[in-house]
This record gives sequence, structure tokens and C-alpha cells, in this order.
Amino acid sequence: MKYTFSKRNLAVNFIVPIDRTYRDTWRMVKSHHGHPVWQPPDNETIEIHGQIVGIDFALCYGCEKCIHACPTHVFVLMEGPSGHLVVDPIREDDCILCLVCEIICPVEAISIEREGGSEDTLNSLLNGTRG
Amino acid sequence: MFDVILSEDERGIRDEVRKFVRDKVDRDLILAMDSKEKEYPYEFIKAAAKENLLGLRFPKEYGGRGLGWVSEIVALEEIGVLGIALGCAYSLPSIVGEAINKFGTSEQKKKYLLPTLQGKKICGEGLTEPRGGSDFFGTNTAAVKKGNSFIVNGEKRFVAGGIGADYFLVYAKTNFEAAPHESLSAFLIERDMGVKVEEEYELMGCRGMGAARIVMKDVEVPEENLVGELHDGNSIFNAMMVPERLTSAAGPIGMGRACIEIAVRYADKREAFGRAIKRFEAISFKVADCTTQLDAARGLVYRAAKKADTGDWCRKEVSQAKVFATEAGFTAVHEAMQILGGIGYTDIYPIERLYRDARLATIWTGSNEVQRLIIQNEVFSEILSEDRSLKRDVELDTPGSHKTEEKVYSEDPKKYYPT
Repeated sequence: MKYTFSKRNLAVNFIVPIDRTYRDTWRMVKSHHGHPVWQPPDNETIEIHGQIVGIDFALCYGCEKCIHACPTHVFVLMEGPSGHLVVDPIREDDCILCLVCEIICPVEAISIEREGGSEDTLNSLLNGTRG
Repeated sequence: MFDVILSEDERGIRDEVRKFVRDKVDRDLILAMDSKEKEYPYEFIKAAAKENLLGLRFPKEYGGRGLGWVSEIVALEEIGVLGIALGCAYSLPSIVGEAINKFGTSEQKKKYLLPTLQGKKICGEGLTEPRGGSDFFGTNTAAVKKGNSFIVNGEKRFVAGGIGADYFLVYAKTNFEAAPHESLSAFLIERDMGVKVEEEYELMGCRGMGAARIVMKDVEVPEENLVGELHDGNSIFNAMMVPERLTSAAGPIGMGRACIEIAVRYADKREAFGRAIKRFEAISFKVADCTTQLDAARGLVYRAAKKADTGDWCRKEVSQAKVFATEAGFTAVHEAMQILGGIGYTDIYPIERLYRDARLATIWTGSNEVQRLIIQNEVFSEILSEDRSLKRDVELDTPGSHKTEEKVYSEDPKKYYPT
């Protein structure tokens, strides 16, 4: 039996992780509780909320694991644009970049903004001037 | 065994600390710390200070004894038998003290170093952040100059003495444009300036040291609390890593030694199959291997200490000592437990506590993986920059050494492409 497309194509928006390049490649369309809301260039129904802590509302289903795990209480539960429950990073300024939410999220809906220059910081550790 | 390379004075320090450890540290303190009933071993620090045992290598005018590094590591091995938490409490004045003694102003030495070595002020250090510890130069905590002060914002994690310390040596970013190793500065920040504890960690071992996550939100730090030059945290970090890692290396030798001594006495008496278990090579060879590793560790720690005393760059030697001694120490504790069998896994013996303690040593003060990164980096630069003319070219001692076309290092991937 030959399939013309796989199930993955049918559900692609819901099973691939959050687009971690969204801060560079998506459009900032509005502000919500002080954080930006982003949409992909070719789709006006999908939203990612947050700058430091980004949450893909198409993936998030409000399981609240991140709410319980976050040591600084960044997240709150709310009703998303499509009517289902999502978590919103309303206190993203309090994020301490521990990444526990990214690790615990069962659908990889969360992306924490990374500091640039990790190669530089490694070089500083290894080759920094001898003081 | 180790005595042959120690001076008479160094053996004297060892015996003095051994006596202090035997007589002046209450067993109840160790048990209270491990059962989470204590937040900081103040009485231990006060007792060590009373005997003038803190910061042995610092000048006498600031409360030290003006001794060498070897004396400190000899003392640390003895303190190590008490476990990693008291070893940490004993080491912190040496670590934070290094920054103040080497880079601090005379006011800072009087205000912080002296009372620390007198046991009147408790110090802590803030290096690791929630985002990481080994990637030190990626520090996010920031200090911005405002008038005669710096406004510090940031968080530090796994701070020993986070609960309990009076002040912290904290690294913060002060230059937001420069390369990472030219962007950090070190500050002495007192708890009363506004340092808050947000999380007290429950630990596998190393208990009773108040390990916490501390938060600084718009904390105003007077500019006179900047340690060393602005943006030169790199120099202080590199200096501080010597005591940080040498003390980390020496303590686990004590833990491993204590456990192996227990195991040797046990194997001498304990019987199985009609004889003392020490008669089985499966047991006695563990003792042979572990004590050999511990002695090798002592050798590496001793060499690093000697080099540190010269003031020369000693990062390779210190990192080698840290890796080897923490792994030898942990292995010794692990094998001692194996020799005791089930009873070694209970709290009838202290091996299970020291096991939980020793596990930390390979992780903290720069994980052993990072130490290996440092070691290989130093070794590659050392070998690749050395003057080869002083040594025999062993590479040529082979019949095929002239076949240089066989000594291939790389090849153009398009070598066989059609032209």
C-alpha cells in the first residue's frame, strides 16, 4: 500500500518543536502583558508569546508542568486564542535561564532565549590572559 | 609514606590539625549537619579560628600564619576526614581570602580578610548561576556604575553559606561590549546590602552548609567594595581557582583515606569462608589499588602546591590534581563500602555519608570534565610551543622514518574529482 503523505504531514504543526529561530524569522505583531507576540511570515493563526521565554500556543495544551517546575513563577494559565488552555510567560523578566521548563515541556513548546557567544566564553575560560 | 616529602614544620601542621580534628570537632555537629538540623557550622569556624588554623598561608597581620601551600593541603587532608561540608567551611576563607589578599585594598583586608580568619565574619562566594557554573565567563549578573556605587542585579546558585555567610565575593559583568574575559569584575557584597535567599537546596551530601540560590535585585554596592581592577575579574578568577581547586583536591584524599582505614580494620577481622576476608585478593587488591591511587593523588596535589607557592602559572598542575584526587578519593570511598558490604551501606558506619559527600567533589569547583578541557588545552599549547632542539627526536627512531610521503595529515577532499 502506498501513502501519498505520512501522518506527520497531517499534524506537522502540532508535533514539531517550537521554532527556535522565531526571534529572528517571525514577525512581532503585538504586545501582550508586556511581552511580544510573534507570528510566522506565512500564517496568521499561530502565535508565540514572549521574548526571553517563548511559548508556542499551537503546541502548548496547558498541562501546567512548567508552572509547577519554574522556580521563579514566570508562567500563568490562560485561555489561548483558539479557546484551549495555554500558559503565558507573563513574568518572563524573572526568568533565571535555568531551562527546567524547556526540559520538562512534553511537547517542546518552550524556547528560552540563549546568550550569544558560548564559543567566546569557552575560549575565555581556556585561553583568558594569565592575569 | 607521605612523610618523606614533608618538612618538619609541615609534619607539625599535620599533627596539629589532626589533633584539632580529633578533639575539637563535636560528633554531634557532624550528625546535626547531615540530618539537616544545621544551616552553618559557625562553631567549627570559631574553633578553627581560635587555633589560628584558617587561611594558613595568609600574612600574620591579617590572621594567617604566613605558611606555604603545602601546609594548607596537608591541613585539608586532615580536615577532609570530617566530610566535604566542614572541608568546604574550612576552605572558603582560603578561597575568598585569596582574592582579598592578592587584589584587595588594605581597607578590604582589614574589614574582610582579618575578621574572616578570626572567625568573626563568614564568607561565601558567588560564581555559579542558574544558567551554569563551568561556563563562568558567560556570567549574566550585571553591575552598573551609578555615582559612587555599583547597582548589582543577578542570581547565584549553589552558594555555600548562602544561608549563614555575612558577605559574598561575587562576579558580575561590568563591561557589556568587551570580550568575555575582559568584561567581569569582582565585588565584596554584604548580605545586609540586600542579598536575598530564594531557594535553599536539599543536597545528597555536603549538608549543613546552607547551600542556596541568592538573588541581588538593585543591590547598591559601594565602589570601594570592587576587588582589583574594574573589568579584570579574569585575573581574580584565575587566582581564586588555585585555592578553589587545590582545596577541592586535598579534602577527598582525607575522605578516601578515612574510609579505607575503616575497611582495612574491617577486612582484618571480618570472616567469610572460614578466614578473614583480607585473605581474599578481591578484597586486599582493592586496598592495594586505592591506597596507591591516594598516594598518587597526594603526589599530584603536593606538586601543584609546590608550584602554586612559586607564584608561577600552575593551572595545569592544579587541574590535574583536582581531577585525579577527587576521583581517587571517591573510588576509595566506593571500594571501602564494597569491602564492608551491606553494613557499609547503613549509618552504622560513616562510609555512606562520606560517599554522598565525596560524590560532589568531582562536580564542584569546575567539573572534572572542565578540568580535563583545561588540562588538554594547557598540554597542547605546552608541547606545541616547546623547544624541540633540546630533546632527542624519537620520531626518527624507526626504519620507515624517511618515508615522509606516508606521514599524511590531511588531504584535499576534491583530490580525485573529475577535472
